[in-house]
Amino acid sequence: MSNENLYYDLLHAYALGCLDQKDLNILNEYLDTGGEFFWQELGEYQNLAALLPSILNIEAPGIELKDKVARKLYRIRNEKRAKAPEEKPNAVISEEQKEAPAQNDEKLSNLFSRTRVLIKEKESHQHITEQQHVKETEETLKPVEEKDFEPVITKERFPEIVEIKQEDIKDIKSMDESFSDSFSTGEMEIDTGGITENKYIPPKEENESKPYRLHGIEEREKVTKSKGTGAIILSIILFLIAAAAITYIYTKITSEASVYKSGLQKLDNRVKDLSSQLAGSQEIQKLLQSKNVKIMNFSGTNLNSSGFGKIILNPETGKGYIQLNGMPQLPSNQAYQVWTIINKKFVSLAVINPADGINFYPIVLPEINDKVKLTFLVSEEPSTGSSKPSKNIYLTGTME
Amino acid sequence: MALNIPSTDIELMQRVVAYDSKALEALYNRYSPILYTLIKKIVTDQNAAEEVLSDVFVIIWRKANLFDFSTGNVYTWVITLTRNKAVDFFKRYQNSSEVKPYDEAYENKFILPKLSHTIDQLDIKTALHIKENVESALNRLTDAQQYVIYLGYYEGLTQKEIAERLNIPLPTVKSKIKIALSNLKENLVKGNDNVE
Repeated sequence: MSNENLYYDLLHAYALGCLDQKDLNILNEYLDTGGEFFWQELGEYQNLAALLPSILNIEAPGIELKDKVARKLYRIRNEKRAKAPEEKPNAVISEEQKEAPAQNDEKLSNLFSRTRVLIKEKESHQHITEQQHVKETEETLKPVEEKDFEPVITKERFPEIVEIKQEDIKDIKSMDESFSDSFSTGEMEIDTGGITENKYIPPKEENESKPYRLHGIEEREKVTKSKGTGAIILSIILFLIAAAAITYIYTKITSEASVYKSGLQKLDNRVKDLSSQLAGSQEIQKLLQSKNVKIMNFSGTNLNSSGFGKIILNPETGKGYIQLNGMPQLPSNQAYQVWTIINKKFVSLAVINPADGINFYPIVLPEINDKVKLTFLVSEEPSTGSSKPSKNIYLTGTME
Repeated sequence: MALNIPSTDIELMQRVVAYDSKALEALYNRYSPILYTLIKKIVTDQNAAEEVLSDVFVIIWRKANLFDFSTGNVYTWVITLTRNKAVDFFKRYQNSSEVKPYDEAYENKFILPKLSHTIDQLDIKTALHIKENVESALNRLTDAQQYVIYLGYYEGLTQKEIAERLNIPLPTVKSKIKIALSNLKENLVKGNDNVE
């Protein structure tokens, strides 16, 4: 039946209280006819919707509000008396509903047909505080004498309330006295103990009306916060790892770079040497191509019979080159010095260290007569040079 | 002769019908915190919440005789009445053009709840007992499902208004509400099974 489906589709929104006006009118009209309907299911969803507020952070109204309600009712009573006689109550209570609270609990546990077990489980594991609240509620609703209702406010009995000062109690009682008129029977006293009935009061906190909050979702916020903290810690760890990796890579690159740098330096030096040698070779080549060039060969002495060398000289310019071969290696503080004899005096031409790796050493002779025979010596001297040759002569030669 | 103040909700209501002020006071003491919290959740303003709460108890005082005692469910009746009154107050405060004049007929039709006559009994003690399970069942819904329930129940939006707010088709909203409540009920029952 399409109508059944239609009404069934309206059931959930009806229970929640969010039916559109048109649909609400349709459903109300149908329900008023008493026709067949999904009553059991409707009842379950109505109970379900009514349970939603139970999970909110309960906040008790102020004490003065009770007084306000009393005044309003007092005003209505007067208006009512002025208008019509009192209506007799027509509520009918079945025998079942008159049963003791304990038996009622069993009936209530049939909620959703499954909650009986739940309530029994709950009762067996109920928190002490909830038990105290339940007991307190039952105690305050015990049969009370019509007169002289004096609530005993003690901290033990109502541990969760804010301390009520004696002055406040006196003030409340004075308000109480001002509303001594009753509605029908007895006196309607402002029961200061009533505020302590608010067993649902948690430690006083603000009722935050957070948008899109069906309950005090502090737990959800805690989870979110913890998740956020964990994410932050993880981010920090990852950052440290990345920093360590970058540092390692940088160090490695730097060390390799320094190696390459030193290698480059060596190559650079070598290039310079080769360049100077090349320049020297070019000079020698040029020298050899000049018109008047003299070449003299050195001969080894008793100290160095295998040694030899030569001098290539341009007598016009006095510039030339000397080359030594087969010379013994000298200590680091010694060197070979090249001499010539001019006007019976020894003239130093060069201090040579063969370890330098230089093949041709440049020399410059002072102005000489081209036709004079020149004698050349190569002796061992200190590396800083000497003013005259020592006795250790390794090579000799004569240029004519 | 001592006046017995009844301890069950039903007996309190019966005495309220008989204009027993102490019974109403006991009912006030028992229900005012949860009702005040519910009202304040809807109207947000404290003064308005106090105004609505006092109106609720005036309605209870005046119309307790319209409560269907055969249901035995004072809790759902009071909670639903309070919710309807708070939403109505909020809409009037917003000067909604769709709100009808507030008179006796309007109150009887739109404020006083019509409970299913086969509804299970429920009182505030039981609601407190299973509060954690309800919360757990609610947490297991998706965010979208929780949101449509919030909009419908606490903001008092109709399905059409929810569709406009969320910019989704009306059939989708209807489906979401249906699924959300079904899942909530199922989660609550399953949660009970897990407890067992």
